Amino acid sequence: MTALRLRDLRPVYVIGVGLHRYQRPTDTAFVELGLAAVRRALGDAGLEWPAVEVAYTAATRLGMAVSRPMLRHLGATGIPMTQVENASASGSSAFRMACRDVAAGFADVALAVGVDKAGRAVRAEQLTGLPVPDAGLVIPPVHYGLLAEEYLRTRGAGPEDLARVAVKNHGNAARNPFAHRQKARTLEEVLADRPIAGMLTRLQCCPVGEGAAAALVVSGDAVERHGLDAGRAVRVLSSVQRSEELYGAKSFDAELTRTTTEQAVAEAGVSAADLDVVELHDAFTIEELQYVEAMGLCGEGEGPARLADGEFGIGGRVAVSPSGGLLAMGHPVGPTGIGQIAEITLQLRGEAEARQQPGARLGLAHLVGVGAVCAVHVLAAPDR
Amino acid sequence: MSEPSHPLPLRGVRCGACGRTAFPAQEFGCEGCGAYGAGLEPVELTGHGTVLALLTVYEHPDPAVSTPATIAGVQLDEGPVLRARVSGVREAGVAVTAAADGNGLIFHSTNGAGAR
Ligand SMILES: [Zn+2]
Repeated sequence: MTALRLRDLRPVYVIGVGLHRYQRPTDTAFVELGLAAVRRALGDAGLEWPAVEVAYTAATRLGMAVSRPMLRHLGATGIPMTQVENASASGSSAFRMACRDVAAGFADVALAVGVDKAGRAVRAEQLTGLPVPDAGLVIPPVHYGLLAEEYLRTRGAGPEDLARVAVKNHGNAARNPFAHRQKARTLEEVLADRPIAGMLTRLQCCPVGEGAAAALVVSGDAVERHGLDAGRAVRVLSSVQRSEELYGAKSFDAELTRTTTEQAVAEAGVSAADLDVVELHDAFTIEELQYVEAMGLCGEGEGPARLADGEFGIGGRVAVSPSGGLLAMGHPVGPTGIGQIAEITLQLRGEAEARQQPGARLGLAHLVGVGAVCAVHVLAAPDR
Repeated sequence: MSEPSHPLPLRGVRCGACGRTAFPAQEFGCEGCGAYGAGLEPVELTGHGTVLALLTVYEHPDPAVSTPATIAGVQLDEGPVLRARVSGVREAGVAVTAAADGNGLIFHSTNGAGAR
């Protein structure tokens, strides 16, 4: 038997999105961050809280049972609430659960909300009891720094090819009022910044702070019943999540991205060349170069040249991380995947203002979570 | 990371069902086929491998980890890929051999000045 695809079920739409700015750690309670995002999403949708039938909360560093201490302040309506944790992909997975509930008919209105504060996370991989021979050195910038060294060597690329990713994404975030970093940077600034690991400087590593993001997902029935604006409803064409396989010495992040994206694009009935906006897991500059190639946005090894040509900038062939991406919009972790959906929704509605990719009709959101897992969603403009 | 025992020789497992060699040693199960327990035969790895990439770590959030330090991705001759410190190696593609110091596993260039 062939597994169901999202598109085999009834249509699912993003009808409302909302964010709390991603920012450096403050003493603001997570409750306030999360509620701000949910209330903005409800306002954006034109929905009242009692219409929401199910909620998924993505959080990674807030401990157990995050949903109700936050959502009860919207009114205790008794709806099912579930916390979703999938590392960097937590928000993507929460969004996926909401989409599946609506597609299958378990709910007509579902909420996916991500909220997080800075703090130490316990990683289960460190509790396996298996020896790790790296002397504790391999933290994420080191993992990606090693991939950067290998990528640049095998492609004949240089440090400035990496740094250009940071220049583009910081430039985009400078136009995003919800971004953690809102300052445009020059190539010289990126290259001369404090070195962290190998060629990766501080501005080539994402800021991990706090924030919140929310998305309301609805059925066509709900659009009619609640009198919502179908002209602002962004359809979710596909939702695919996969986990790491055995790839030998190849970059597992890139290979996992390749298989997951291939499936998501195929299930959406489109091709990678049709995409107008892509939000991807650019926690480190090297990732964007790896992923644009793995996704088929350009040929293998062509990433640096296409980037330098402006193909991935706003106004280019396909805008990559128009929000500023994890690199500059920031990576509060729980919210990140839902923040991507918020950006793509604005882009596909034509509401992204200073960051608007002209004529955006088709968008893709991609996150990799340590472990590794990968989630990809393809979304379409209301008039597509 | 705690290093429960002396890192050498490198201990791995060979799967009796699919033939995959994995590092580190464990009985939880084979990633290739799921065979577990007695299905995984403990093997001593040669400790010889090739550097895939290396870099200098300049900053680390854990003050107990001393920086700068040089770390590499190493593919062992038996197939597994791991990350460990290296010494006396300046570029990828170099053959290395596992050794140990007070901080655990460290690879040296098999033929170069850094070799023991
Ligand atoms: Zn096996």
